[in-house]
Amino acid sequence: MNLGDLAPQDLTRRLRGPGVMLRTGPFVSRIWTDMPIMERGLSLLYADYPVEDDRGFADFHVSVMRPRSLRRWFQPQAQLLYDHQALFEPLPLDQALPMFEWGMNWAVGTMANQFLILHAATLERNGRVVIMPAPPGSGKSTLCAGLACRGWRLMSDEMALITLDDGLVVPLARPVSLKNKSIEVMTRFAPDAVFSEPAEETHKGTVALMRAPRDSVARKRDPARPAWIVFPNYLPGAETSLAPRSKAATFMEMGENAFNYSVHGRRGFDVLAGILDSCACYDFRYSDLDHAVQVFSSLASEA
Amino acid sequence: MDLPADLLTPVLRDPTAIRSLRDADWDLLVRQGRESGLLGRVHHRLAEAGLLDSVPEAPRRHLEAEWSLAEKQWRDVRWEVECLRRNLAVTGVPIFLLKGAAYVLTGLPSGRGRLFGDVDLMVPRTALPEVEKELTLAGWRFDPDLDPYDDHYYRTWTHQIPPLTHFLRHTCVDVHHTIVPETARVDVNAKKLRDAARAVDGSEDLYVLAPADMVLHSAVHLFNEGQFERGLRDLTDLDLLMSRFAAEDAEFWSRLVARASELDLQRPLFYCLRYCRLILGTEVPEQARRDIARAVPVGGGHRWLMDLLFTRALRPHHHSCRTAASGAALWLLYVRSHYLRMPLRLLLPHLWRKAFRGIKKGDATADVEGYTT
Amino acid sequence: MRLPRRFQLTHHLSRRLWDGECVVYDDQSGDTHHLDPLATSALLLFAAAPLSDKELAARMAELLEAPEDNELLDWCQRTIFRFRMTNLVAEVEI
Repeated sequence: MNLGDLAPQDLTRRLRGPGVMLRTGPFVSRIWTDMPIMERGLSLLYADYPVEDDRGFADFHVSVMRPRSLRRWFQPQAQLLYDHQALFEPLPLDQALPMFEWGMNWAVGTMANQFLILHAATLERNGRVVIMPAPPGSGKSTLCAGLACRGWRLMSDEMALITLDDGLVVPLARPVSLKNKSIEVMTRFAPDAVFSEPAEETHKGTVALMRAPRDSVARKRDPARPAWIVFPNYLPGAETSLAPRSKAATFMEMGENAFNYSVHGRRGFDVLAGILDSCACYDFRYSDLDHAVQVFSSLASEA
Repeated sequence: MDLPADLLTPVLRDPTAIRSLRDADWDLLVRQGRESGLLGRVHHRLAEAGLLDSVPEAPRRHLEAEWSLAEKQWRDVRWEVECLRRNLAVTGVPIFLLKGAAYVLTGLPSGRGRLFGDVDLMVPRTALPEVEKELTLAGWRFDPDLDPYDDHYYRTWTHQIPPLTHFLRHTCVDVHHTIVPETARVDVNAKKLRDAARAVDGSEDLYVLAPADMVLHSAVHLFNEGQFERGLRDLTDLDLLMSRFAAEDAEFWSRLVARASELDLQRPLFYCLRYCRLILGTEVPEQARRDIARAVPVGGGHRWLMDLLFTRALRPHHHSCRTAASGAALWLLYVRSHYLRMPLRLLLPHLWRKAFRGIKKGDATADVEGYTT
Repeated sequence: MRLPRRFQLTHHLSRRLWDGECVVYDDQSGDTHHLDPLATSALLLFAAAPLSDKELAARMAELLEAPEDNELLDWCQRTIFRFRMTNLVAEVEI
């Protein structure tokens, strides 16, 4: 059963009672909220995700609640709790949904040490995965959303989960977080895509979440082998260009920005080195999303 | 009154207890274990008992994940000690490793599956200025926000200098000159500890305390210092230490009791034996229990009070194991720990200040920015 | 006469070479280092045998078909310093 199949009253009952057991990729999260804005957001973005038995085992325990302070009467806020403990300072009410996503990232990034977790978007086509690590502002999420709407399977927007045994990428398709101008770019690029209400004045500016394509969500159990590492860089007015980059430098950049490279010691080194062995590494500059997607298509069709 | 479900302690006591757990129990056990810093230790206990395969896959991944983290910290502790050793070599000062670092460097089971905070070491008091100087030259720094009150508090009322953090590795080291506060009502002679200490294998400048002293130090730390966030973990350290030492040395228990009396630490040892046995089922021979009970005349009322406080303070550090009474118990034990170290006339203003500083905003919650892009 | 100070690779290293560059993992410190092609060459020479600064300069000169001058010796000494600071080589105990 998927979240979208629950009757609205049943969803509310679960969110305020035993929690909704939401499966995203390899994880089940127990989610509580007493906020209608969160309930609407979950129904919009997570309708295609399986809901499991609430008597089962959950990997993570996340709630978004109205803080019990006087302030809630004149300036409504949302507070993220992990297993009953406040994770961040409360934020304005309309940021509840992005904050929930940050909380889910936090849970994976701090606890899922059964994986090597790289800070990167990952997409798959014809059984091969492109890993896109990049700092904020590089246009990584825009490109990731663009590819996900043009035949690439979305595997992750923020965190690439790598198995330690065989160096495969495990899918964790969740909503793609888009910021500022890229929200408008994407609504034009993919008129059929579904977006959450933009949350304004977050510490990242305006943030909206794009629902992950249904096929990507459905293929939650298909891992795939990485074939390319591409560092995107959005540069207004730039010609599209794909240039090879140093593997050793790529290793260092990915290791430094990974969530838990150091946790795994020699094993982490071996797994990451194995990925570098099997991947072609590129710097990618773009300004036009359509053209960018074409370049990726030709990459995927190469033998 | 029924206390809420503590699933963690029974598993630490007897790993086969996992056989009766359902999925919903694992859901709670994993959280209790993580919050108490004991999930890696649960992994270690289950692996030793050959029971890992009986753990359902989803919770088992959490045990393995936390074990990876514990193994990383185990390596980090070894490296930090190596850095300390290299940087202090010029001084010729012997380094006495305490607590977690000692367990790791001597390969004790209490060093495995454990999360570490600081590296604790002890040097002779007279060597403190030299050690402090060498460490600051090698990149260790005092907290820049340390105010003169805190600095004064550490140096006057505790048995260590303020914690030092390395500016590159961000690791933290606590340099002690004895194992209980200098002014504490329990007076421990640091020289006696150093004289009995043993060299770490293959090293000329690293030492660890003798087995009995290691247990006594860990016991003093747990029962006199009033910090219980990691109380259950520290109790399992004691359980593992004593079980290992008793297996290696038939005379261990009598040596332990004799040493406690020599160092005037019978009371913490009494609590250690009592609560290890009550909570974790540690096998303590009757003779040792009788000897220590005789040395610590405790009235029924006192014993009742201490049982009440410690059995609450030593529950898993998780909201499911907290009651209104456990908050009170923790506060009472905290006040007690200060009373053991400071005269009452000095204690009252200190606690006043602590309570006042406690309302400052922010430590528990992080800024959202660290986890997003 | 004083023997020259020699340095050897520490024992706990893993390394990967890509296009002449090297990434080295030190299992003792948990640190990972990135070496450019020249530093990689020096590391590989240390992997073959313990070397003093002058010996390293001589090997590098042979390898690069370059004169064994003060500039090269200076580079070797700085490289040895960096390697020692990062725990990649240690002095051979005599």
